[in-house]
Amino acid sequence: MTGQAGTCPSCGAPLRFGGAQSVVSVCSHCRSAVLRAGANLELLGKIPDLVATDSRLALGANGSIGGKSFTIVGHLQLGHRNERGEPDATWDEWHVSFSDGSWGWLAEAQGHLLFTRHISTQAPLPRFASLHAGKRIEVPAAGSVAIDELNEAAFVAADGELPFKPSLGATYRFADCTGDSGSFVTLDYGAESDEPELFAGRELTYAEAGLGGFAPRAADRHPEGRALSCPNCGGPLSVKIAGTKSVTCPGCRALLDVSQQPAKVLAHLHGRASPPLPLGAKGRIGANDFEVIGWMRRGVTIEGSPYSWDEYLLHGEVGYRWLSESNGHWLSLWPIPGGKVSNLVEGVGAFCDGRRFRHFQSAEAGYQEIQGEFYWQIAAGTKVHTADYVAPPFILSSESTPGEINWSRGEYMTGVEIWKSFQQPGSPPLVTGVAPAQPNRYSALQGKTWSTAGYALIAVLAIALLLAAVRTRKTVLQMEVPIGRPDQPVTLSQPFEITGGPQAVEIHAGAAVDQAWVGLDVALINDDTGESDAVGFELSHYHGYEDGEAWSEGSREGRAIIGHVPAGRYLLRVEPQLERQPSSSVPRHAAVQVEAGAFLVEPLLLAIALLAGWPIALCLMTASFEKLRWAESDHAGGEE
Amino acid sequence: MKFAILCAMIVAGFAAVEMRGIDLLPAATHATIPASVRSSPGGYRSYHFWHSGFQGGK
Repeated sequence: MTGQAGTCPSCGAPLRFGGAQSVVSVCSHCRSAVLRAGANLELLGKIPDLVATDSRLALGANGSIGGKSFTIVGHLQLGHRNERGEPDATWDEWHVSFSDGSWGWLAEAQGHLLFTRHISTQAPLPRFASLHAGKRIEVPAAGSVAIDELNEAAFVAADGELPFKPSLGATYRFADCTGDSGSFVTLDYGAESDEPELFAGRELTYAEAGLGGFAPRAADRHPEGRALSCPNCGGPLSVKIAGTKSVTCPGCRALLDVSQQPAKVLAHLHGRASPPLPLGAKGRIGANDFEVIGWMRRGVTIEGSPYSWDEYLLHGEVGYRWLSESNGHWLSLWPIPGGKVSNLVEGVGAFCDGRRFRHFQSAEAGYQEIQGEFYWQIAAGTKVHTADYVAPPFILSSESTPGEINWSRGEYMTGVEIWKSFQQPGSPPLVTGVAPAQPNRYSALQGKTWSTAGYALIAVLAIALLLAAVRTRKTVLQMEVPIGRPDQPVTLSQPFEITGGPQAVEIHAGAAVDQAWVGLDVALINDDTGESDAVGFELSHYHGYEDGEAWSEGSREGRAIIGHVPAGRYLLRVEPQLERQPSSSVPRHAAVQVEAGAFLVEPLLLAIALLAGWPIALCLMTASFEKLRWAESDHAGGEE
Repeated sequence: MKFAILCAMIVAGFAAVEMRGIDLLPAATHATIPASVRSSPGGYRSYHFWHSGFQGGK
């Protein structure tokens, strides 16, 4: 009966079933739903008129997906139920019939299309009661997907042909899920007794679906503003963006739902603050131009202390973006499908785009101020659960209610960048503290600093090894110095030569004393110039027993360095002193030795300390910065 | 870049100090013995010079 034409049983107007899978056709003349049952047409009842929405598609539009052409043959409108049980917040689903007889659904979401087709599967699908927003599930044909919305939809209206028998007043349970690479899945649980059905597909651009002519353009904006009047105060309203669902009245500050006509009041707002970045400001973020169309001040209470931050909704050719500002720190944020977030462990961390994000803070956030226009129906009095995960300079942020979770990914920006981009006069809000996603400027320097220090350290060690290898350590004098000889209080060495350039000279002294002390005043004298460098040695060794324990102290050997000794003829003058006890044993001579070409350890240690100093200081500053960052988090104590 | 320059200066300084044998923490007391002392009776052995006679400077 494909392509079959008939007449409406109610009014006799021509009726057509163009889609192979079409079961119901809505009479365009009398709005009766007519069921195709074999060769018979059965009247189901009247279908309400379509609700005016911002959907751009139309019945009869042709396109192609994956090389297969299709025609839009049906239009279904569903809505969430409000607190009074009435369908509210309507959205559109378009029934597409392919040339090969298959069919699917197209839906529009913030400038993109979501295409799904029915997947027949024998595999069991998860029970509705076992699901929650944010949960990851495995489904046939799509693999691992995350549940973004778990909700109920009420039938609102329809037009054209439908692939199922609609039930007026029925409520359909569904779970919308997204995968990592643009895949999109709807689990349709229908009414209580229905078996779940799987619809899988992906996000498409209008051009990819062959519907480029329906794509949103800058012209979809209302340059002068869509003229409305406030249902609360009667004042004029101007709505700039075609997709706007909520707008605040600049006169009475009422929050209005403008997705349907006439507009209705959602809430009466009391805030009178002005956004630091004014509505209407235009600027560029990345490669795209945006205009500030909405501002909201959000607030949380953490451990009894209130905190607030500002969020700005931007709109441009590429759709919606967000700016968030807190304590002078800014974030540029954009929405992402939940399927891009993997390995989510609430309160711990998550992965997105190959990067690990660490949980920073969770809270219940409410609205303190709302101004401008927004693409969703704002429930001003409600609170949502927020969770922020950071991998500076990036942030991953979720806002969730029991039935829905929205993810956004962002990047840190400075107020100066924002002010410059949006050409704002004056200065941006004052920066205080450290922001969750603020890049740690010290850690950014660490890699290069450590590598530079490493190369320099290698150079220092190479120089030290080279000098140790090429420099000949040479004993230039060995002498014995009489000790305790009143007739020879001073011993002078024979002259000796030190050759080569200026160098360090090491003097060793040793005496096998026992229970005695020998002091040696040693002077290295340049016999040509009279330049003298004097050092002292104290050689001693004492030992005994005290309280049953043996003890000993002192050293029988000493070492001293004289630096920068030029070549020349030298003498060594040694003047010993002796302090002894009756039981002492003092040798007749002390041995003194002079070595030229000594290697100095101190400059090496100093060079290493200087090279490592700045990198180590950077480590400490990095740690301090991170401590300040996490002090404001749920993990201030350092716990995971 | 500044740190790289600093590192280069440290390396060069280390090489210069080590090659010239400059003791950065000198323990030795430097003095210049006048020629008169060297030529005096006792010369370098003079107790007077080493312990009280020579104070250095003016």
